[in-house]
Amino acid sequence: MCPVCFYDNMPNAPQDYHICPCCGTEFGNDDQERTHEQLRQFWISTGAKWFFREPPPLWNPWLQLSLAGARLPYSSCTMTFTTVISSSRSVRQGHTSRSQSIFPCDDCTELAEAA
Amino acid sequence: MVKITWPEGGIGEPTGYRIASKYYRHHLGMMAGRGYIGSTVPFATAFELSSHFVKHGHKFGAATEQEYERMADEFMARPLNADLYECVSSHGRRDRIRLEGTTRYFGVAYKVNTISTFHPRDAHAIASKGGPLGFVLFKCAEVRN
Repeated sequence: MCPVCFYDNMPNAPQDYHICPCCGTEFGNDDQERTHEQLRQFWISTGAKWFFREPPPLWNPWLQLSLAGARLPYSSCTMTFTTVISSSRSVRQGHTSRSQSIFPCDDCTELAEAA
Repeated sequence: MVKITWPEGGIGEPTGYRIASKYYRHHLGMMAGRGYIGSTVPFATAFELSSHFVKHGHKFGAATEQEYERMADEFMARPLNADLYECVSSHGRRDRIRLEGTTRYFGVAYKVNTISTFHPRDAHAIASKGGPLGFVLFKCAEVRN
C-alpha cells in the first residue's frame, strides 16, 4: 500500500525509486526531504488526481483516503443511495433523524437536510 | 568515513568517485565482452520506464519514452569526469548512484545494467548534504527499508 495516498494495488513496494501510479510519489526521491504526511497533504491540495494514465474504474481518491483513516481537509461522509433516499424522505416528512452512513459523522444529517 | 563494500566482497574507502568508476568500467567491459550487455541500459519493466518518463521526461525535454531511456542510458554509461560523481551502495541492491554537479542530473542503476531512476535533483537537497560528493556518499550509505 502506498503510504502517501493509501492506494493498495501498487505494482512494486514503496521503495527503491518506484513510483506510485496513483499519487506519483517516487520513494527514495520525493520522500527524502518531505514526510509522507506532507506529501499526502500536497497531493490532496492539488486535487488528489490520478498520476499515471487512466485510473481504475470507479476509483475515488476521497473514498480511498477515508477508508484508510486519513485526515481530509473538510468534513465528509459517504452515504449509500438508499440512505440518501430515505434521508430525503425523512427531511421531506419533517423528520431530522440522523442518517446512516458508511462513515458516520456529525454533518450527515445537515448534509441530508441540505439535499 | 563511509565504507563501501564492492560486489566482490572487498571493502574500500570512498576517496572519490574514481574508485567506483574504475571497478565498473572494468566490470562492464568484462560483461559486455561476454555478451551480457547490449547497447542499452533499460528500466526493469515497461511500467518503470513509463512512470518515470511521465514524472521526469519533461524535465529533460524528452518527447518519448525511448528518448528518455536513451538519455538515462547515456548518463549512466558516460565516462566519469571531475564533475560526475559516482559510488556504489553497500546496502540492499548495491545501487550504483551517479550525480552530475553542474546539471544536478541524478541516476541510479542496479545489477549493473538496470536503471531505477533518472531525474534532476533540486539544489537544496544536494547542498544540504555538503555538495555533490557528499550527496552521492549519503545516498550510498543510506539504508532503506
